[in-house]
Amino acid sequence: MNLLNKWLMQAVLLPAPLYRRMGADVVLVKTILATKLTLDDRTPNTMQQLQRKGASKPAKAATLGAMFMSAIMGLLYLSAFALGQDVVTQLTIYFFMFFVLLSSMLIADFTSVLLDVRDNTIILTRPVNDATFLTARLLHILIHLTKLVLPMSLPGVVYIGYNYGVGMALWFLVPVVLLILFSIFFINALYLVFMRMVSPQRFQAIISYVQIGMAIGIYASYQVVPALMNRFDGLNLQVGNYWFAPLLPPFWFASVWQVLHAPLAGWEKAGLALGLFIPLLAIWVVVRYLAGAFIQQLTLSANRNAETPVSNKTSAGHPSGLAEKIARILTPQGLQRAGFLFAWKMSGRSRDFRMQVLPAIGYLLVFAGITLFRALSKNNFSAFNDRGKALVLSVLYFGTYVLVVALGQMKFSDKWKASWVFYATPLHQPGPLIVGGFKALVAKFYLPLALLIFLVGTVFAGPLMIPNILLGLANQLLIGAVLVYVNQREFPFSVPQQTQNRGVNVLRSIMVLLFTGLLGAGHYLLYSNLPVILICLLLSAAATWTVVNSIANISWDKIKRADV
Amino acid sequence: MEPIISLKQVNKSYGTKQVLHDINLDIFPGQVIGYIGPNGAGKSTTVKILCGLLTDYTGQVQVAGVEVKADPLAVKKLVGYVPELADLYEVLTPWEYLEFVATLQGMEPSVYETRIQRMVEAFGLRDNLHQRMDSFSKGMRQKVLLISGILHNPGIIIFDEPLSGLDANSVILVKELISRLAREGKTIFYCSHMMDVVEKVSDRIVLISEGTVVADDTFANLQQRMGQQHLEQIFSSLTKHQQPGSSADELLRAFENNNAL
Repeated sequence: MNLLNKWLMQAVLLPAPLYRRMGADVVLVKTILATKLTLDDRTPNTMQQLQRKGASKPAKAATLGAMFMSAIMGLLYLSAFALGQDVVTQLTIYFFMFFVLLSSMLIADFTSVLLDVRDNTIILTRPVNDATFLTARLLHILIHLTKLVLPMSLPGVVYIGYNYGVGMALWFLVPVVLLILFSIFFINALYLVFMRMVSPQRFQAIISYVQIGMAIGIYASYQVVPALMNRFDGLNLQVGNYWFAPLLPPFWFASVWQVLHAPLAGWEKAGLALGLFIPLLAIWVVVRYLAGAFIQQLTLSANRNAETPVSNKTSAGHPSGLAEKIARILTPQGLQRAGFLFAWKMSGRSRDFRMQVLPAIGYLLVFAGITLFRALSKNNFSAFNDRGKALVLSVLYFGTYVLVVALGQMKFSDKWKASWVFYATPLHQPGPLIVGGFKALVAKFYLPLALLIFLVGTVFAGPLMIPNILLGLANQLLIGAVLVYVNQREFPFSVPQQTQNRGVNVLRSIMVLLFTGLLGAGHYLLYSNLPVILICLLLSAAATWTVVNSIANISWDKIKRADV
Repeated sequence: MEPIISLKQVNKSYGTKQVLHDINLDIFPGQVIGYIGPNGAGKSTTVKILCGLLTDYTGQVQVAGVEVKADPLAVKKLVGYVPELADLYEVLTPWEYLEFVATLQGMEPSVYETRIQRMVEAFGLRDNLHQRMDSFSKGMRQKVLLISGILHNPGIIIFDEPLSGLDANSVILVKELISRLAREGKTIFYCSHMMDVVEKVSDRIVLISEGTVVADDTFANLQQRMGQQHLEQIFSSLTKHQQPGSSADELLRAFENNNAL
């Protein structure tokens, strides 16, 4: 165990007599905690996995990377101090960001690190009582939190210290601790509610959607907030003056800090009272009620999975959903259709895939929406002046990003070992399977967006835009197809995610960006010249067709054999 | 003789689904019980109740005279549980893992240190004692699990598919181990799908199907009663109704009419 863990463990075990009084066996608590911290430290993060040469070389201090990331996030929160008129408002925004990001990180860690289902068979089959197990788990969570929160709050502490003095910086830690207690309660309650309704697997899927939503939200807020700030510049926004302020937990914590800084005004007194009372009440509720139910729920859900018979709802015969219908239109029968259906279904059911592609779609929608909004709010907008051209083309070509991400992700899967089927079956040529996968991803992730862009573009810019939009869309397909032809030397979903070589990835992204930029720039120059655009459209479509055919002809000797 | 494990009228449901119906079983010290049944029959649930992991059943479950519901901790001290593969903290070394488990069982270092050394050596893992288990084969991990189940010298040992992933030599070792443990008076509760092994190691077979005990006797008596030679056949005829259409006949019939490819 490293020094940091050792210190933290000693610190959290200081109230040992109290734990003992609560019925916990402190020796066992210490044993479980030490083991858990060792496990944490040896579960490498992605960066370390890449650097690791051999499995025998231990991954050390995996948590240091995570701590560094939290410090970066802490720096990000400082942007709150550029907003708002008074320090309480600024702190409210600061604590809001803190709360949201901390909670989302914790939700992710809860499922993977803190609520290890293996504990059910390894620890709960041993003579360890509930109080011991619970205490160990809570202390583990506490240490985990400390490692996240210390670096995360450091920039804030420094900022406060610089502006308000050392005393206020130290006092700043009090609302931070209260905020942490409140976050624990919030997440515990959230988990309990969800776990009553859905299985842990389903819950993890929901969490991943939440994370995707947050990524998109952060992106959107970076696009929107500066504009909003300009608009509200004249307003004297002081959150404490509004009746709803005490309903906002971040405001409570801001009020707690304020009490030693200046006389409380407006609703700040209510905020102070709530800020001191609610977190303590919340943590009492967690210890007294939630945690026990929580663990019971966990054990139950683990067991439920073990003995629930597979449902026999599905009817016999060939399924015919949307995927099958589209496959019939886009692919000939045989290998290509098999590749299409395989990629369509795998991409919908693999978490990794979702986590990569859905945010890209979200970014595109946000970007397109904001661009459209800005364009419409200007009176003199026309799709054919320079500004209009640039806007239309940037939305069009930004769409390439979605396609590139989806296609780039096609070969990766955490179930890559199952790709032995490709090698064990008498396949003449891998090409048709890959082209089927290409078509599936295009149909699934690109066509709906293309249709949307097409409709919105036509409605807002008139039918004269149609050739331009079509050229843009054809060019994107061309980029996607070239990318697959050059890059996809593996079967769909046959490569483990972690072998993804960052360097090559960056290089690939730069190439794609250059290529896209080049096509976009060319398009910009020809934009108003309709006959040339039409000719280019034909050329681009023909080129796409040729490249797709070449993908279909990829032969065995071009395939990098997966190590299955 | 007093039974060491006694289940009376045990029922257990998950939500509206009842997985155990009125289970009654008396198991005596030194018996090796082969506990078999199709997937989803309720085997794991029974095992979890006996390990003290599930206490929300109805009826009576006593282990060495202790009601499981009343004092699960006391029961956990008496029972050793070897779960089905994979439930291990793979990034630990066998030594770290076994030391952890031993501490949880309340063992003293002076006792577990030599015991771990000896057991690891007996399983041929001495050279791997301080290597992380994430590089281990299935069989090596299974051996560590086996050790972790018997390390505290429990009177009752529950094996859940203990042979999965083991090579032939290790299978022989484990089978030998089971009969030796039984001879020393330990009670073995052996869950498995490998009928030939169950047939050989158990001196009493309990077959559970859809949450109900459908057979409970010695293998010889079952053979006689059912008029069948192998446990596989007995199992199949007692549980067949549960899996309609799983016969080989039907499988082969699928080739009819389009034999080509």
